[in-house]
Amino acid sequence: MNPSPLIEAQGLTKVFTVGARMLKKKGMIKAVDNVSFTIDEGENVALVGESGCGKSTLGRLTLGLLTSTSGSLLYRGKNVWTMDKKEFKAFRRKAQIIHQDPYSSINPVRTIYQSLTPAMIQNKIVKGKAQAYEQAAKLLTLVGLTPPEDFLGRYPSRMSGGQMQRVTLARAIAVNPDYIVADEAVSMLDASLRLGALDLMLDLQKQFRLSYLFITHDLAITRYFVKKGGGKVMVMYLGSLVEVGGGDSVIQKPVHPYTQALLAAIPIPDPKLSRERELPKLRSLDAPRLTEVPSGCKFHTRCPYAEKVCEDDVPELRDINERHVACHFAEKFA
Amino acid sequence: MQQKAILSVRGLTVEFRVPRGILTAVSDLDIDVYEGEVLGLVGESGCGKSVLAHTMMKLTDPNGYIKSGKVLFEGKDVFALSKKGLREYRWRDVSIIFQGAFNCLNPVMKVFEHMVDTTLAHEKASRDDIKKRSMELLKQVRLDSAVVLNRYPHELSGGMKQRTVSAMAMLLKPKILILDEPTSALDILTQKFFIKILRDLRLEFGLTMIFITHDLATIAEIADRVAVMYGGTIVESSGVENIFYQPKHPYTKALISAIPSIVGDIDKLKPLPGPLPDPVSPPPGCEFHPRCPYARDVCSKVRPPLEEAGDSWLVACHRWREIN
Repeated sequence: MNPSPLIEAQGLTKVFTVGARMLKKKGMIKAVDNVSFTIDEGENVALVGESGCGKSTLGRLTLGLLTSTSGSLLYRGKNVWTMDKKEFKAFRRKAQIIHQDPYSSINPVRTIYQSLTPAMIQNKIVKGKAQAYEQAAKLLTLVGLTPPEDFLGRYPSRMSGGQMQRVTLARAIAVNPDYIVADEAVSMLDASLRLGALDLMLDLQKQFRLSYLFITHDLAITRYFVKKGGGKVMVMYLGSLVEVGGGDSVIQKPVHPYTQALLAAIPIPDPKLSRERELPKLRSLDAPRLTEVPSGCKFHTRCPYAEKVCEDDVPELRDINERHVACHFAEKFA
Repeated sequence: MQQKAILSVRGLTVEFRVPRGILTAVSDLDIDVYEGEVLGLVGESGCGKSVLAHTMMKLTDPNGYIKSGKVLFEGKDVFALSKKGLREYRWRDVSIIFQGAFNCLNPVMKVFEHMVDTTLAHEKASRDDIKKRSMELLKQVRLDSAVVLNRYPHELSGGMKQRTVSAMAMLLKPKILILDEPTSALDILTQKFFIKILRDLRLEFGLTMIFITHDLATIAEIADRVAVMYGGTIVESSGVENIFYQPKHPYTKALISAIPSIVGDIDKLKPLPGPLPDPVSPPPGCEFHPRCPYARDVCSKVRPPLEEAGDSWLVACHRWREIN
């Protein structure tokens, strides 16, 4: 029998209620809508989608930071929400997150040393101050901030964005996690520093057998990440997964009309190539409001191929040529 | 072909007083903008690209000041303009779409009132006239003009607001439109269409555009000519194909090969080592020398001048002849 996957999402759904102020009626936003997937030990999963598609909410659900409205979350085969206190605490230690903005996720009035060590001491990874200092220095060396003595006493305001993102990585691995959600972890970094940060993440993965849920809106970054580190790509639209495939196959040969449109729209850093490309065919330029998600296939209001069935029936993720695609006409595009 | 410079910047230095000392945001910078072109101004955060754009409009933050240099628009000195002259220069000669401008629409004013406000701030016009003009412009940016004019900002999506702001920027038919990171906050699909709209606007009005971004891929798509900024100054400028296919400056080379794409060989990509320079205490000589694989002694001592390296091709590097 195969061992249980590290993380398993079964029909995860998260509904937020909004509004209900003044004259406005209360609205419901289904940020995540019946999403199922697995992440194996040491596997990368890239979650791609535009702003507001629910990708960050899904990431937080898989960490147990948010409770789902329905569906369940399993960690090594065990339901996270029926765990006892001790088990849940252990899970929370094993599952870590790296935020987009390192300056707002690390306390500005603490030194790097003060930010790195409390979690290690509390989780009894180290004993005493001397050991904590040594371990913190080791972590900084691991993430390429050398010599560590130069950085441990510094405050975040004296560090660059690239350096701070390395600190957040160091802090995430400080408690020996096996699962890390990287939520737009390199988006804030400058172009010249992004690849270095991605390479570091993949390097740490090999050393510590980490699994990543790599959340991003950037398909070019996604391609680099899964080509170098392997894994699968999941494309999300308005709360649902529309396409899932291994490696960079989704980016090379997109099947779902939404993925196709995204890829046709992404700018290419090559003046000749980018000017030859045609505009993606879409019925509407603007994405629907989150409170007014279309019926049936959520993409039907913009999809150039939509027919009657797309308005009525919700397409399930189906297997098509080693790919999972949620489109009634997937065969036509495969 | 000799092109006519419509806007020229000469020896511009802009500094800011910050708690740590004096921050040099723009440092002895020269650049020409030619009539009818789309100039892509590209650089990483803190390289001074936004400050340069603001200074072109003679806008500086309270803690910043123009230390030296000139901005010439069609030969006239922008910094020497009277209050009235400056009011005419802004929006009528040159207008700017600030970064995040679409979030700066007044939430309690309908789009039409924004149009009236903007127009009347710079010239006299009747409401009917403004309405006619706005309708036309909104149509140009592919918005349903009759509907959008009567909407409040919160009733529009991000992409619609960005297009509204673009129409506002065009109200007084400026000769130059400066766009500061206009696509960064937009979704990929919205971005693509917005760029198409900008292209159409340019053809329609014979507009000169200065397009500022950190995103090289977008620059590849829209710019005719590219100026690369590093440490507050221009390190290389040339036609877009030269910059992407045969860059001469070591920084441009490194930057181009550090950009992931959905096509091409990812094994050829190389991360750029080292941190960006600190604008309060920049490295001496060429600011790129601590990260440059070709650096020699001279690079850490003498700042390289912008030299002609071909037909309208400028490079600021001591060693560009040897390394290319």
